[in-house]
Amino acid sequence: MTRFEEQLKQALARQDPSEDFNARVLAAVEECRVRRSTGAWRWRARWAHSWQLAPALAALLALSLGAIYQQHQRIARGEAAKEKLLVAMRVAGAKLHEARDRVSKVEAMEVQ
Amino acid sequence: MMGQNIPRVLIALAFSAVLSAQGINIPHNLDKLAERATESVDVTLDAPLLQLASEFLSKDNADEVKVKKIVSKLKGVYVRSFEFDKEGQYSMSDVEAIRSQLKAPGWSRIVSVKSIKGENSEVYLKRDGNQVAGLVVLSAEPKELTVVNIDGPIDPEQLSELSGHMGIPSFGRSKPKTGNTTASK
Repeated sequence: MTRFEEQLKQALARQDPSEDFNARVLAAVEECRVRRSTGAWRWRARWAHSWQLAPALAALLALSLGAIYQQHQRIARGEAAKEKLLVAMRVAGAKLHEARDRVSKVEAMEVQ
Repeated sequence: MMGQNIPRVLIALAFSAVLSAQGINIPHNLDKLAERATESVDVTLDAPLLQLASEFLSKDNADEVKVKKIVSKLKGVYVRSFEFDKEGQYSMSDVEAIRSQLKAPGWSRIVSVKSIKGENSEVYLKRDGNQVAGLVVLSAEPKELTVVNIDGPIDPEQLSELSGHMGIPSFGRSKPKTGNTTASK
């Protein structure tokens, strides 16, 4: 038997596992189980139940849309009120101006 | 029987509260003139609407800054203006209905100009102590009738400051054409 054959026989010879082999395998399995129950696995589990949040999200959406609509309405009313106010001020200013102008004319005539 | 009258009484009380808040009551007959007018302005702005309008006035526009200053303490602004294509479309009783209210205590006429052309201008002030608490301008011309009622503390000089701005001619220039300022028909 050559030296190479002896080395080969030795390498392929049956060996019993170490004494703590079973314990190490079981520990690895447990570690894997724990890892699944946390982190990404937990998030995946949560998303699977996300449909339960749908009514709350719908209510939130409805409230947001309502708030946006009310704000839009308020802006429209505000702009309309502003336009009316400016018209009112123009008319008031113009009519006061007219009155003042007429008084001035009367005074000028009296002076003449 | 009494129970049936309660809602009417409440409505009447509420209505009178609105009228007293407004200072003077613009008669309903006046609003009917809009049907005959070629151009009309109908502005009713109570305190909340004035507050809202004021929020939308620009801080960068000098005219709007002036207006904001004027309206900051006002309780209401009411304008009715009608332009007609022919004379005799309104009666003096329409004007008299307002004039009679201005005979109430506190009101005093500071300007009254009557021309032979039938162009009449009257300016009334309501005084509350030393402060002006209201202003009414009545302008009655053959083809035009305007009533301006400003309720609340106002300085007429501040309104005059708008002269030369916002389409209001400067004092001493030609007569302004109010038709340019009308908002609705």
